Amino acid sequence: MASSYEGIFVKTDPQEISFEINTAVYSVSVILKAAYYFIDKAYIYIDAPDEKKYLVHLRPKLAVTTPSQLAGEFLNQCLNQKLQEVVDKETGKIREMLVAQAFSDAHLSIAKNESEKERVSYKQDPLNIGKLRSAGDGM
Amino acid sequence: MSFLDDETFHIIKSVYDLDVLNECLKDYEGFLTSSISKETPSKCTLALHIKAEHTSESTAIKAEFMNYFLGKSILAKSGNTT
Repeated sequence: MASSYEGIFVKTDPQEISFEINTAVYSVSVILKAAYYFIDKAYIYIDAPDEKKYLVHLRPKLAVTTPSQLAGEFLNQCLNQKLQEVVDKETGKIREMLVAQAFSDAHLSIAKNESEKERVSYKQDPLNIGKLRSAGDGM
Repeated sequence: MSFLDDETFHIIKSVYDLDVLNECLKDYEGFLTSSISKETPSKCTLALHIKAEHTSESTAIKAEFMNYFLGKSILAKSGNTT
């Protein structure tokens, strides 16, 4: 299993693994989001040997996961986060507009109800509650 | 050699939040002794030297500390300070 990853990883041993991530492919926010996802599964240290790459060190917390499996999952998670970033860039504005519209409608309907309540007194019984009660008493 | 055998960790500003470093070190008082130096390779902001007070748990304590610091840094950078 580990041999299929050969060439990707800088260092592998039974307890931990190190691999480089190119900053031209994945931004630091993508790497951090992926790291946070794995923080309960592995001990993580991120270094930067030079401007163009990050060096990620992973050490699984539990012996049930091999370091190379975990690293493979980490890299997949980077891809997942990158895709989310791309989708957010493409559709973020539309989503913001939809949320803004939804909140502004809710705000207006609340304000409208509030102003109606202020104008109509309970003595006027706009919902005919008194009539309904008297009809119920007669039954 | 494991990265946890080392006592010096290069802290990169883009990854780690320096504002939470002192807070994290304070939380590990009694477990770690630490010092900070600023002579570091490019891109690194500082070099953090940490040493576990009890050598028998050295690797575990350093591993837990670095994860704690990373987690707090990510939350601080995303605007969540809780």
